[in-house]
Amino acid sequence: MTKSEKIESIKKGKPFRLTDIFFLAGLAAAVLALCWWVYWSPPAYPVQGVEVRQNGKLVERPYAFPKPDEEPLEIPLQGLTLVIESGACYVKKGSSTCPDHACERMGKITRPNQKIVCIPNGIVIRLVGESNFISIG
Amino acid sequence: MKRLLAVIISCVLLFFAGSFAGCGSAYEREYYKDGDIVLGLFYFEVWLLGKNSPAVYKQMCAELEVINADIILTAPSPLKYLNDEAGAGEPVEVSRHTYELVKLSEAYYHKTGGAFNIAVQKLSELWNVDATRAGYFMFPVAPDVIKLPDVETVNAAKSIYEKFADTSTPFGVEASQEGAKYYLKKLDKDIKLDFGAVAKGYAVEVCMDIAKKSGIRSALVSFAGHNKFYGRYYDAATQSEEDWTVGVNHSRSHGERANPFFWEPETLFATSVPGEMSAIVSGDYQRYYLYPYVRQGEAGEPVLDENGKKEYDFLPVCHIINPFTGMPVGVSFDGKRYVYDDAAVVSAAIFDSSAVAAEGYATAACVKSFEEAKTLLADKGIKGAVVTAQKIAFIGIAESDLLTEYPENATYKRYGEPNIEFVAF
Repeated sequence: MTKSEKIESIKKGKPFRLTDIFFLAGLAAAVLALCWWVYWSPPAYPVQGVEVRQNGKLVERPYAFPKPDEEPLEIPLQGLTLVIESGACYVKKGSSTCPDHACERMGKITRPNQKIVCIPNGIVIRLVGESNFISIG
Repeated sequence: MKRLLAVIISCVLLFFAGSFAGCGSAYEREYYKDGDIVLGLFYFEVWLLGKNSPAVYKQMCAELEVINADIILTAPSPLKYLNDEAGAGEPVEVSRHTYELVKLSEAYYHKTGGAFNIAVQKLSELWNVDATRAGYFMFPVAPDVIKLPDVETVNAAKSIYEKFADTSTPFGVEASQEGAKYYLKKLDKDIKLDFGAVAKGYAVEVCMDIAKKSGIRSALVSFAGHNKFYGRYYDAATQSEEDWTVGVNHSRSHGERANPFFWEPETLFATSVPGEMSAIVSGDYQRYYLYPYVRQGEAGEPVLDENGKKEYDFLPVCHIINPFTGMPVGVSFDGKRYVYDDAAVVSAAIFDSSAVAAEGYATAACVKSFEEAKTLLADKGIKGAVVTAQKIAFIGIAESDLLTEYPENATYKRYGEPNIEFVAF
C-alpha cells in the first residue's frame, strides 16, 4: 500500500474498532465505579471514638475506646488530663489547670455528640459517632 | 496513536466529570459539623446539611461577634457604658440586634406577667452571680470572701425597676429608632440591664436565619447549650430522614445537682423533635455556689460536730434571679437569714419553634412556683417540662411522646406515679 492509499484507508475507516469500544466502555465503567466509591456511596458510620480539639485545631485523630478488659487511657493535654475508658471519657479530677475546674464537673460522657468543654484552655472533647440523639441541659 | 490519545482524553474527561459531580454533593449527603469556643466564653456548634456549609458557619461566627460586641458586660461595650456610666435620659447608640433584644424582652415580660425581666443585673451583682463571677460556681464559698446582700439592699435594688412595672418600658429603658440608628435611654440612672436570659436564644435564631437563607436544608445550631433544629435529621447511612431525638439531662442526676466531686449526667426524658424546633433548659444546677451558714442551736450557739468543729448548712445561690423577690430562685428570708425552699423549681425544659420564646418561658418557669409554672405554660400553649426535686410535670407532652426504649432515657420515672403529671393544653 502506498502512503496515500494508507491515508485514504484511515480516513475512510472507522475511528474505533469493536475492541476499542469494549475497552473504552470497560474503562468508563471503572472510572464511574471509582467516582461512586469516592463521592456518591453512602458514608459508613465513623468509628466511635473521642475527638479532642484545642483552640479550634484537631489535637489527635479520634482516640478509640479501650476494650472493657483493658486499662483506661490517660491522655495529658495542655491544661487537663483526659481519661478514656471503655465507652466513656471524662476529665481526671484535679488535673485541670484553670481556676474553676468546670470541665472536671461535667462528668462522664457516654453518647455520640456529647462533649466536655474547657473554655480557659480552649479544649473541646467530643464523642464521635453518627446519631440523631442530642443531649441538652 | 490516535486511538491511544482518544482513550487517554476520554479517561481524563470522565474523571473530571466525576470530580465535579462529587464537589457539587459535598455536605448535601453528610452533615458539615463544626464547633469551637467563641467570644472567649461559649461553645458554639453547628451541623449543616447543604452546599456552602463551611461558609455559612463562618458567617454565623461573624454575626455572633457583632451581637456580642454590643452587649458584653465583661469588656467595654455600649451596654456596659449604658449600665455603668450613662445618666438618665442620655441616649446610647446600639446595634439593631440590641434594639431587637430590648423589644423582644419587653414582649416576653408582658407574656410572662413580669417573671421574665432583664433589669435584674444590679441584683445579679449583689448576689455575686453576674457574668464576671463564674470562677467559684458549684463550690462552697468562704463567707469572708462572698458576702450576701442584706434584705434592705435587695429591696432597694428591686425598687429601681419595680416602679416601671406594667408600663410600656418595664425595664426603665426606652428603645428608639431614628432612621438606621438605634438608641437606648435609661429612665433612671441606676437601671442596669443584662441580656443573659434572652441573648443566647436570639443568637441561635439569627444563626438559623443565616442557614435558611443560604439554602441549608437540615441543621442543628447550638450556642451555649441553647439548641435549634431545622428540617429533619438526615441519616447518611440509610439516606433517609427522621425526627431529631432530644434527651434532657436531669438537673439532679443521681440525686445531686452538678457538684465538684463528680457528676454523671442522666437523661431525665427523651422525645422526638421535628424541625423547626428549639429545645432549651434553664435551671439552678450548674451556675450556683453554696453559701455556708453556721448551724445554730436553739439559743443561737454554734452546733459542733464530734470533733468540736462547727457544722454548716449550705444555701444554694444560683444565677437566676426572681425579679419579684430580688433573690435567687428558691431563696427567701425567714426573718433571721436566707433559706432555700426544697419545693422550688430546679429546671424547666421548653420546646418551641422560637428559640427566644423557649428561653423566655424557661427562665419564667424557673422563677415561678411549680404550680404557677405549669399554669403559665399550659395557658400559653408552650410545650415543656417543669421539674422540682420531688415532682415533674410535662405540659403539652403526652406519655406516648416520651421515648422509653432505653431505661436510661427515662429517669423521670424515678419520681414515682403520683409525682409525675401530664398536663394537656
